[in-house]
Amino acid sequence: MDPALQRIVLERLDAEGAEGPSPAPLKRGRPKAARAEGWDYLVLAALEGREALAGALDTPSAAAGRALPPLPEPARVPGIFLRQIRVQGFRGVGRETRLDLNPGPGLTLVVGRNGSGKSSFAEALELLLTGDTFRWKDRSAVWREAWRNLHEPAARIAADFAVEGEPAGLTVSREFEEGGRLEAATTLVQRRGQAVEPFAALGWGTALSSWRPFLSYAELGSTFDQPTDLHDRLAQILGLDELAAAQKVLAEERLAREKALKQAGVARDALFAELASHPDLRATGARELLAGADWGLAELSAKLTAEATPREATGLAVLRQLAALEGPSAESVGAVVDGLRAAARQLGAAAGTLAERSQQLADLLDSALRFHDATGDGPCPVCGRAGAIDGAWHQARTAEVVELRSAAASVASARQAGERSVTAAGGLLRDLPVQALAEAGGLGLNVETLLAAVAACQSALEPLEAWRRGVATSASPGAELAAGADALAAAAGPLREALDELAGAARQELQKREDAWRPLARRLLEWIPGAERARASASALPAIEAAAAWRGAQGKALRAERFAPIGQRARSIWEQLRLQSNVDLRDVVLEGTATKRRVELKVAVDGADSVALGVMSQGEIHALALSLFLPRATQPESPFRFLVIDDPVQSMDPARVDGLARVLAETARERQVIVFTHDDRLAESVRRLALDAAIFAVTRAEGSVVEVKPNADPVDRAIGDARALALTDELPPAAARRVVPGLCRQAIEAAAMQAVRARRIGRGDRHDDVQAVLEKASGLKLVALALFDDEQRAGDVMNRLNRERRTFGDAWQWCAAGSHEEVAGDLMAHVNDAHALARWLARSA
Amino acid sequence: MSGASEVRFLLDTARDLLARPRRGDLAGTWPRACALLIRQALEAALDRYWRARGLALHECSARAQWICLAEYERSDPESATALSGTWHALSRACHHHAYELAPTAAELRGWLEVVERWHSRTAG
Repeated sequence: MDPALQRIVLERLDAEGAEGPSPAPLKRGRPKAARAEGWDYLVLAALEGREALAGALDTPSAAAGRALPPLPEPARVPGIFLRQIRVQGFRGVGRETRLDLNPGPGLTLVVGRNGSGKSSFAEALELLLTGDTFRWKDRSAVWREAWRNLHEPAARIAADFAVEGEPAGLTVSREFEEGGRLEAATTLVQRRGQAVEPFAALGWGTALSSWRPFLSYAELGSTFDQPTDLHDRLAQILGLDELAAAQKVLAEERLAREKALKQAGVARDALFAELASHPDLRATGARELLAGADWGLAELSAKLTAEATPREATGLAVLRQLAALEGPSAESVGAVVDGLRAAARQLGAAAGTLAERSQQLADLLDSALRFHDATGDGPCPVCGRAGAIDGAWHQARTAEVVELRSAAASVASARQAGERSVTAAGGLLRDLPVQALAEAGGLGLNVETLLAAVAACQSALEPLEAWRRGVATSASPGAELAAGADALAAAAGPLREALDELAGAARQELQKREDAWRPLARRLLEWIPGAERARASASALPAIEAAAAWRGAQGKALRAERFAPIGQRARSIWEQLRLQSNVDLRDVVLEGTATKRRVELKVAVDGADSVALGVMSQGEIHALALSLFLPRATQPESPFRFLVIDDPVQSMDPARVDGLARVLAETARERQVIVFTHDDRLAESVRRLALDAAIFAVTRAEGSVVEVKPNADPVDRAIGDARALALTDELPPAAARRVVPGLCRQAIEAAAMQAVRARRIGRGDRHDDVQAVLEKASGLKLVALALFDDEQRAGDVMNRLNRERRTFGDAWQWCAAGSHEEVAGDLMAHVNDAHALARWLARSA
Repeated sequence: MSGASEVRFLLDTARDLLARPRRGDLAGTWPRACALLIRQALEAALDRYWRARGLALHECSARAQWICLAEYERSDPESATALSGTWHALSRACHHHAYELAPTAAELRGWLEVVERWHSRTAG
């Protein structure tokens, strides 16, 4: 995070106190977390980025109550200066060409025609450091692929840096394989005497993206094309994009969590509705749990994975019992019926044998026989008839007693058999699950037939029970049993059928319920983990919302506070660049959010508020862009003490170039300012204003041979060229004699122009007007302008020259004539005379 | 040295300056020197052209000469226009102009070719 921004954020968070903003009202289905603890920590984490926020949220306990970090120390970064840029086989540069720079604060101008290869240095440096350049960023593949110089197969770009505290400095280089792509090469870094490392090891990446020390013409021109882009670029340097990104990640985090919760809730509502209409009793239980505020997820999960509870199980148990239902078998019914019938037959057969009487008579005879045994033969002890009891009587009565007792026993056994059969008949129905049958109706089973069959059976049993209780319902003994047996035999068939039918229906119902429940149960089980996650993630929502709310409420103030120094500096730069512009820049502020974010330039035109860009010329717009670039690239937090500006003067009128030269020179007091420019205006301005600057001229010969040469002012340059050619053995002497006078004349012309410009601009003439006069004046008229400030006095020039110095007139004429024909004489002597003339002219203002 | 050989010498020197990479003395110097040579080649060629036709036009102003050339070269007006344009561009490059930098190699190459073509056509 941008340290300055972090400082501002922390100060404001500290001022906020522990309580923080009040938590957002809870929404339905949200986990209870009344307190938004740790929200302030989330603000910081979100500012660090998505991953940091995710990390903070993954350990919620850590987020809550975690102490905020201390205020960061003011940035103390070692400054980085450029020492040399080397380019080979890249863009306009063929063989290796070096641009030497003084690694310290100061202004360097690199002047060269368009196509001279000068911008290749700027682009190479930008590519080295950022892996891309503004110019190429959005270009087509064709453009990106045309980076190789056709004249040099080997491609390599490198830059030497001086770093404070690292005396050896370091070299960043990128070597492109032959035929390799621009992006394919890797950028490497080497400190002297150390192993080569990947560029990333320097750790410059963040700083480069924050304080990108490059400004190209294309960027300058497009600065205001997209209000959001400019906003973003400024926001980026100030770390304000982190602020925006923080809001975004917080919002995303919130949305993702809310969405997950909402989806879980939608699924829950659907399941809830399905459970409501589900016949299974387990559904009711699940539904009761789901209805709870926390959805009873844990319980529900346990329940679904465990067996059904007894209450829920009842219905299923009844169904299972009924499904297993078996009626009395045909055999057992047959046995009971047979038994009843046998008993009935026996009882019928014993009918009239007066079994009771037989028993009593047998007992009586037994007593009489025991009496006879005791008293011997004699009269009947009952009726007194004499001789009634004797041996014969004894024998006959003994036999009768046996017979009587046998008859009595057969009746008793028939009765007992009858009673057993009645019991067995009763037992036939005793095994029926009466309770289950009673509930079967409630489970949607038809039990009418069965109940009728059961009733028929029960009514068949009633006379049997009555018989057993001794209540005779029929005259003939055993007839009740026979009738009961018949009724039972008749009722048993329908009962069995009804039971089979019910069991079948129960089995079907059971299957149906399982079939209906199991998928629903499975879906519930599948839904639960996601729902648990959603609820767990939603528990952080209050803190996230609090963090987002704070960020939202503070965003504007944070931006304003962070941007204020930049806005002030931009205004002061604009003051120097505006010169005759009637546009007064009153304030620069970052406004709006999302798609409405923009840099608001509050301007006044001739004192009246206006919209900046609409009223500004292209040159003014560029100046304004520069006003914004310089402060952003010279932030104290930036380790880059150099800044590279590619062609800032295009479409800037000459007056503004003076302002620019001053602004650049001022910036160069603390920074290494390297300006590439396609014409001599800035250099001229720097020279005329006597600003400190190193000036290089870049020329590109055929075969992409690029030459970098220190460039003095035009007079010295032309005289220097003339001397070089006068002395060189690289040119035939006859050719030198053709060229040297022309160069000397250029020196004199340049000197005259300097004089005119110094005088007229010095007294307040408009640059454009001075320029127009100079464009038209040539030859003696130009010299007349320099000498007399009057081009009409060309006729007086030679006199004036000769009066000043005898050689001046000759020098002028030699130059003029030699520009068209070969001259004779001592070249160097003539050059010296011309130089003297030029120097005198330049001072004549 | 005069006439065709003079033109040839100037053009050859200019081409040599343009084609041969240089270090040292001539680094950065050659574009202006080259422009001066081409202009003189063009002027010499024009001079030769008039002399060959027995015309004493070389004393006239450059502007007058280019107007006349257009008349004489009516069969090839494009060539005359190109020559006149080249001469004006060369003249601009040969004088000091505020803020202007030395001509580029491509510009010089273009001018050289215009003069070369005309010279080889008229010298033959």
